Amino acid sequence: MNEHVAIHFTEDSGGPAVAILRIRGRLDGETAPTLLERCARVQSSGRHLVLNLSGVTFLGSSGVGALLVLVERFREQSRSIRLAALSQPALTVVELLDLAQYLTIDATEAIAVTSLARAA
Amino acid sequence: MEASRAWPPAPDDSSRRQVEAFRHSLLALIDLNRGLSRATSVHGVVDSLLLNLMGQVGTPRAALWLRTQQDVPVLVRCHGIERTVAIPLLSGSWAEVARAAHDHPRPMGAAEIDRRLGAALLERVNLAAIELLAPIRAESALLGLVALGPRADERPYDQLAFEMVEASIAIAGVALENARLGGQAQESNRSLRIANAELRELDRAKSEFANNVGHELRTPLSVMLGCLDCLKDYDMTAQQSRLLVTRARDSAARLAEQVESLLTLAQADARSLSLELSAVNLSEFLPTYVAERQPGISAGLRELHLTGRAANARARCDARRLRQVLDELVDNAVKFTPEGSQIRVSLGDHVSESRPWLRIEVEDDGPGIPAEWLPNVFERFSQLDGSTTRPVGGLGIGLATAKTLAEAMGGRLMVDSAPDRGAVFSLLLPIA
Repeated sequence: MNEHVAIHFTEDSGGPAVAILRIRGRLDGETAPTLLERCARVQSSGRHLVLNLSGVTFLGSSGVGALLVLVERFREQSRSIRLAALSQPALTVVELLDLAQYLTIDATEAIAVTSLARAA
Repeated sequence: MEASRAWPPAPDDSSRRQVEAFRHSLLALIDLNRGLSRATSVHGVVDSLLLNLMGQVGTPRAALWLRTQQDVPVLVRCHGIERTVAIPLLSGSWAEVARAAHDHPRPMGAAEIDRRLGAALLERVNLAAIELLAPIRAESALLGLVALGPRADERPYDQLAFEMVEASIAIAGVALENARLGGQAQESNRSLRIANAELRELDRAKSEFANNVGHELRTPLSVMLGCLDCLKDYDMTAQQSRLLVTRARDSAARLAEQVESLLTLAQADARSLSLELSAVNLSEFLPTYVAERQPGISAGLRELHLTGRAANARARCDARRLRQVLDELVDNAVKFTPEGSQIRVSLGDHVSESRPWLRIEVEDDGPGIPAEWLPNVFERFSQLDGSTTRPVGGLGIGLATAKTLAEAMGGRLMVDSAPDRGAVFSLLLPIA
């Protein structure tokens, strides 16, 4: 992984079937491939995923593209992905593209984890 | 009198949204440039472009085909569209796509697709839930085609979306051509670098051999010459003469033995290999190796991935020879798979022969090897298709060399394959 890439991930567990990934920094063309790579590891473990976007300082088109790809990838494996606690920059883009329904967004990480744990 | 109004007027929701949409579009182009600047291979450029377009227009469905040297399309990436639907989508229609891209080098909606590409392709496009097709070009040449699905908010593609897609693809087309040429150049440079290193090594070994041989041969020769000089220059008794002749003969016999040993050694050297065994951390070695090979392989429209990890990834091997084995396996996969194929290098633990190993697999999704041919795969000068008109060249010594090198390092090299299920070569290395 490139060390200069302006994004940081912190992984946590939301129970046996749910992983939490907290993202801090810019989610753009430079960092979107890193997000996909990081989520592929969670996907290979067969868990659902909560992406906490509260620390996202910029959400670019490629970042949105990566989120859309992730939804499809998890769906193909009968797993779910939920976005939680969107920062204002992330929320502005998601609202502009009217993606709120498609992406499954929760106000807090706790709500997202509970929903996925219940589904699992 | 008319009441004074505030200037500038407060924007209503619709104009605010329009301004936001323009801002998002402009930022998308900047974002695309950031992504492209990070891409080091054809596949990297393709990923940057597709992620960006999907995020620009808000669609979870997209696919991209690139034109091969044989002028046919090969599916390079698809998201949200079944591969079984995307792979044959353009079959039989590529000539029309090329013509349309020449006459109308812009994104095409349903009406243009119907008009320029025909009803049959439009029907397949509709079945795949694709709403827009856009040619990728660089310097007027067609490089490939992008397909985008419906937007998640169900809005139709408007003028701004068409223009932004066109602008993004124009930027990416240049990056794509550069990545392809750069990858090809890098692969050529890599081959030259390897050949140079081998020549240097050969030269060094030759000098070392000449020095050693010179020293070993000079000693008995000096003794023989000394004895003969004494016999020539001095009056000797019969006993002294016998002694010197015996010494000279002994030295000649020693010389003959040494020449014999050298010949044996030279023969053995031809079969054996010089190895520098050490603990090689495969968790560091493999990512570097794959990153080095990716641009060249990607330029040939095949994709190289690295997966897996091991608990203790330190193998006892010769790093240079390991690279040589991997080169043979990866080159073999490239040679026997069509464009659009995936080649996976993976690392893992393995237990066999009652001991733990580190396992590196090189797996491809090519046509595979028939069962009856598997026992011959590692034999020298063997190729599946022995005819002089076979599509793949080479002497057929690559895999034999790889196996010899693997075993010289104390490892194993095996193959598993079946027709239409690709091939998996497993290299086992001792743990350090």
